[in-house]
Amino acid sequence: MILVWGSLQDPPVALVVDELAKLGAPVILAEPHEFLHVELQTHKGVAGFLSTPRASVDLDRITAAYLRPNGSVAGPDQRGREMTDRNLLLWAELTSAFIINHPSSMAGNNTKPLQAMQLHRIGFAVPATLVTTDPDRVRQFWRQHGQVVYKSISGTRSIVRRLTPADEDRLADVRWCPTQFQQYVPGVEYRVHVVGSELFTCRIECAADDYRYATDHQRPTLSEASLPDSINERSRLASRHLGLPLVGLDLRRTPDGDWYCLEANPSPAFSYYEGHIGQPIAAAIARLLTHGDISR
Amino acid sequence: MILVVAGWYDTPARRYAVERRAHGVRLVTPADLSRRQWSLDLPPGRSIVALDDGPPEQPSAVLVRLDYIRDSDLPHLAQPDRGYAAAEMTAFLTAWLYALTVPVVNPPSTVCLSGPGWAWEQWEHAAATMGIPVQPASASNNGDPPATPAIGQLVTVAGDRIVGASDPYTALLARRLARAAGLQLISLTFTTDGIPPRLVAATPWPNLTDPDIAEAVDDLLRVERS
Repeated sequence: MILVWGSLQDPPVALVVDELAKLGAPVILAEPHEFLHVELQTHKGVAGFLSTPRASVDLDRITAAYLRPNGSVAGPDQRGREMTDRNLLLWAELTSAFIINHPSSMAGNNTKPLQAMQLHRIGFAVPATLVTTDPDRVRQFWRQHGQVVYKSISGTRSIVRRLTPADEDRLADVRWCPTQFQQYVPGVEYRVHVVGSELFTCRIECAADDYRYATDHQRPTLSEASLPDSINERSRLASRHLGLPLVGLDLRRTPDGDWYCLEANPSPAFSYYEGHIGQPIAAAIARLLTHGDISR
Repeated sequence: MILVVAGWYDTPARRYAVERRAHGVRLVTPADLSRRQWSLDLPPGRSIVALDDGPPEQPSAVLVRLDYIRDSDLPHLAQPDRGYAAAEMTAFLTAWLYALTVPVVNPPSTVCLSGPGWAWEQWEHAAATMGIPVQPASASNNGDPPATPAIGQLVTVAGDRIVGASDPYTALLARRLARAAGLQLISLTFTTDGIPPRLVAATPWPNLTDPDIAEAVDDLLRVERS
């Protein structure tokens, strides 16, 4: 039995459910907006049950799970919903079932500088980064690198922006809260989805600093691409090292041919890339869930 | 400079730092992330902070007694900004601690500023896996540990030292649990009304007002004692 915890309104979840159906895999779908109930016992192994409006299953019958709940949904019995989320996350952490992805591994995305240090340790070049509450150090870093961007440190989604002379007056505000600045790395963006040992690479050409928020006249162009073997291997290594059997890596190739890794997305919205260039990412995830090829 | 990172409400941590101020120990609370000069450079990772108007430097050791920074830790910030700032500060401090090459007790994980941030069920599971009996929790299934018995045995693991164990067997259980959680510093409560002892509670923030525990923590942080 394969558990899919997520909403069918969320395209990646819908695509995975569809592909699992094509494989004839037995699935229990737990949608966050529904009434779910989880009983979890951990004093003798990991046991309990999950019930949804359509089905109930012993947790030890679940062999694999795809988690993309995207946060708890507000509604009646909020306390009960929070406990359900908590118990399912704990189950995912403790079970021997194959999980895409373990919650504690996904949590690495909640601190981007830590993730960058991990990526650097496995051999990826990462942009020079300064996180600070010291405005003078920001100015020094800016002078050193010429072009600098700033973005959130945590998993809170933010638009990557270039630091400009108009920001000079606001630099004093970093005293209130540590702020992340990064060397701007020029070049072409690549998104690599690692699914087990399979790789799907997409080239993204866009004039905007953050293609996710490009305006109409900067609309990104996506195309199928391939990477040097060394970068392919490093991408697989990142997946294993970060404990993320499914991961979306944001890479950038500079005009000089250097490869930088900007970020690792532990719950990638791969449907955007699959929809544009037809890469069969959901099918690969479904195969991985039914067979599993990475042990933690 | 030795840092004790703790909430403003953590009186034992404050007292511990004040008593060792002459030996370079300083208390740092989440609000100090808005009052001091902090920096993290990477790659590969260099963490510095300036306290007491001195130049920025790397501390020689850090004791961490926080799981994450909450909105309520930041009363000096405007209410609408507190949630975002708390998440950003937690993310920063996690990475800042991770980059240090000096003793950090306990080191951060992706989910907690101090250790693995285990819920009670994870302690229960770890203990059960090692064959260590656990006091049954209530049937509420809400993650609350069992009620601490009136008479329990509090055992603290601080690196190689064990404080409070009444017998070598309980000391061994405590050591094994600490190792499983990857914690250098932890207090565990065991029952004393039966054999073998059963695990009742676990906390990575031991009582620093206990002189024996404070001395063991001094050793972990390499605080010089007068």
